Amino acid sequence: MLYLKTLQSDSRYFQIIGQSSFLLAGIFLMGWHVHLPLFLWAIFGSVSFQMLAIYFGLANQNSLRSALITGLGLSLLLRVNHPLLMVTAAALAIGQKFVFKYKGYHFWNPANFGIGLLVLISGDAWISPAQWDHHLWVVGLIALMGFFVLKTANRWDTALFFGTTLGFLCWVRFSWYLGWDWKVWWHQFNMGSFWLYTMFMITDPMTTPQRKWVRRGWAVLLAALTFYLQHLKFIPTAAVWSLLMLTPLVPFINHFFVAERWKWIK
Amino acid sequence: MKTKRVMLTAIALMAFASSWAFCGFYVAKADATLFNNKSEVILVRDGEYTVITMGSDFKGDVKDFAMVVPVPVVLARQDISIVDRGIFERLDAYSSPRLAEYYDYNPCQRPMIEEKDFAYPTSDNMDESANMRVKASTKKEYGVTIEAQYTVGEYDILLLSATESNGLKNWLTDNGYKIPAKAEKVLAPYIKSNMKFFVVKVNLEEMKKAGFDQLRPIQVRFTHPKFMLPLRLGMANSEGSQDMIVYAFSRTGRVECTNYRTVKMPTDRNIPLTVKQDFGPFYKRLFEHQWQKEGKNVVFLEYAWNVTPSWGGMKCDPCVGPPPINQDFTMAGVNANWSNIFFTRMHVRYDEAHFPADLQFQVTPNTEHYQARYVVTNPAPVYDGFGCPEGQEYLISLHNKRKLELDEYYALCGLSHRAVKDYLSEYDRYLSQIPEEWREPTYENLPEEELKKGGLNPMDSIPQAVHQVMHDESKREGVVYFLLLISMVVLVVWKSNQTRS
Repeated sequence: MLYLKTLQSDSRYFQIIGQSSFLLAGIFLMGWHVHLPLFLWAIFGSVSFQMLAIYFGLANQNSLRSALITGLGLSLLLRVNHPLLMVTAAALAIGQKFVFKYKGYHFWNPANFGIGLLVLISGDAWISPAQWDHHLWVVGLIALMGFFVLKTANRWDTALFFGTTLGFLCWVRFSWYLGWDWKVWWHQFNMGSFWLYTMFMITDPMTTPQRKWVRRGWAVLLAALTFYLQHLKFIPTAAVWSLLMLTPLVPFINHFFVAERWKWIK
Repeated sequence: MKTKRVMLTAIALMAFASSWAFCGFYVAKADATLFNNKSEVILVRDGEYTVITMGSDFKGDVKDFAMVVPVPVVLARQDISIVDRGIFERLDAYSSPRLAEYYDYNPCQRPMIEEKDFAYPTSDNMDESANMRVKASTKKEYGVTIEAQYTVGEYDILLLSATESNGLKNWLTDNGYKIPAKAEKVLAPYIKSNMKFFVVKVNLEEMKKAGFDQLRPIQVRFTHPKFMLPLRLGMANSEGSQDMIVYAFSRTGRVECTNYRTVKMPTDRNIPLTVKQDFGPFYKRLFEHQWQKEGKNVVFLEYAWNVTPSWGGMKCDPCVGPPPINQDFTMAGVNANWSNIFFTRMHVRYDEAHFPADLQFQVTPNTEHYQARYVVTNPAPVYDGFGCPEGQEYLISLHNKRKLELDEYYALCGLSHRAVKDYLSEYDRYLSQIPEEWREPTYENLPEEELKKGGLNPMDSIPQAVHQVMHDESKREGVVYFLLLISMVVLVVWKSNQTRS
């Protein structure tokens, strides 16, 4: 019970457990063992840069958990040609937290920033949206782990509003307007990468608006942009780009819609 | 145990494919002709510029041939051409899964190494002639507009846009195109997605004039952000599963599917020497088993390599056909200005139940080379009855190695190899003493029926996995990395709980 209390004291514990189990599932079931050096570099890089920040007094010790989450996030979503690019992604991810700041809020989710920027600038990095396949158990497991994270972080609403809006828009387009079989809609949805992204990245409490209904509106906007990019502009990795575009608005939203500041540790 | 690589004269299985090798030796390949009910497609993608070449294996009377392909834009005459069927054969021959053969040497004998160089034969060129006719007419009652109409080579081509699926279906039926009954349901979503229809039938006169008796592949070019292959229409007239081989070219790296998982075929596996005689059927079984194991809804990667002619690196090991040359690339639709050409071969077996949506692709910068490669090893020649101590050691390692090969065969194909016992003990008679542990029953002694029940029992595979890890350097490395990863995660979590003094 004591352990459970510790776990519940910080939602990042659940997130670490969740992301680690997906990494393990990838390694053992999807043949990701070939990427092991990449994972090591990603996590090592993220944690090292964070330790540097801690050393210079820019962050506190428990922020190592965030860095670990960033490293795991990079491992799960980013693929590169050279291991050192993973370190670059980690540097970009962690570094931007301390460079781009407004009233103490950083602008981007670190992993999202690292992935997006590296894909844009390096020409040697990419995202494989279909790598999780369409196994129902994967989606179920992600949903379950995500539930624990979001319940502890009290951010389930972001995921719910994002997921429902996107699901609805896809239904309108694929089933209602185009007249595809419902399976086409389900195929869009029953996708591990999409759920992983929804549960673990867009819900980051540090980069979502603090006021409840503003946050929900923001999630709807994010879903609409993702839908537009993915299904009308045919960009398969749309979710990454829409989040990258919309999170910089969050500090300003928080400026106008003031609410109690998010703290990781309860 | 040591192996040496030896070149041999090739056994050419196909008339067009003599075999050449950089190193290692190619003995057989599993080419696309093995699979019935298959189609082949060449994709070239550069930004939004796309070239699609469709090869058909149509076997009926050519006057019944008709093809309806949804395309994102109305194609101009110069965007349609006919290419030589040989391009598919050459790409297939070059990229198909391969069998490499190695030779052990007898440790009681001094080693002898042969090396030979081979030259590549050039492929013959072919030109295509086409006459052209552009006329646009509308038929209001069907809601179908003929956007363009051409005769290209032996084909009459129409580009249609439609407002509703029923009208399009009726138009096609009334104009003599045979459309499967189920197709109407599938046409509607394409119409609403603003796709045009590329409708092809054979112009018998032109075909007679040209003197071809086989239908040649059609190539279309367009610029559009969509990078996909419409499968759904093809499914409308087929009950079972169909195979499709996709040869994709990009400037940067691998092409991968974005809405179905792209899975690498197991590769670099040591398999029993007896497979050499029937490598084709072996690969077919392997494909079938892997396809079932992966859930029947994945795209298999069979080859991925930098094939830039000017690029100096090794293009395959071993090569099962001559690497494509500039002429082949041009014919496939690759722009001659490309400084870098990356070739991806994908194999997908699709059916209605497992592929509800069309295949979508993306070009990635992934330049990792990959080939589906299987290795057979010839045992050392008998010399002096393996009498020397090293010879006896070799025989034990040969027996163990062959056991692994049989295990591998079982893991790859999901059934045991026919000649299990004979193969394993073939050289045991040269041993002065049979090791004690070989007498114990092992799983290859199990009755056939039990082996056929399904995949490898995970409990059986654990000792095998441990054995492989202990004997394979790359796997040992993997275990170390894995342990490092786990300890790093645990350490960081633990460290994050400590407050700094």
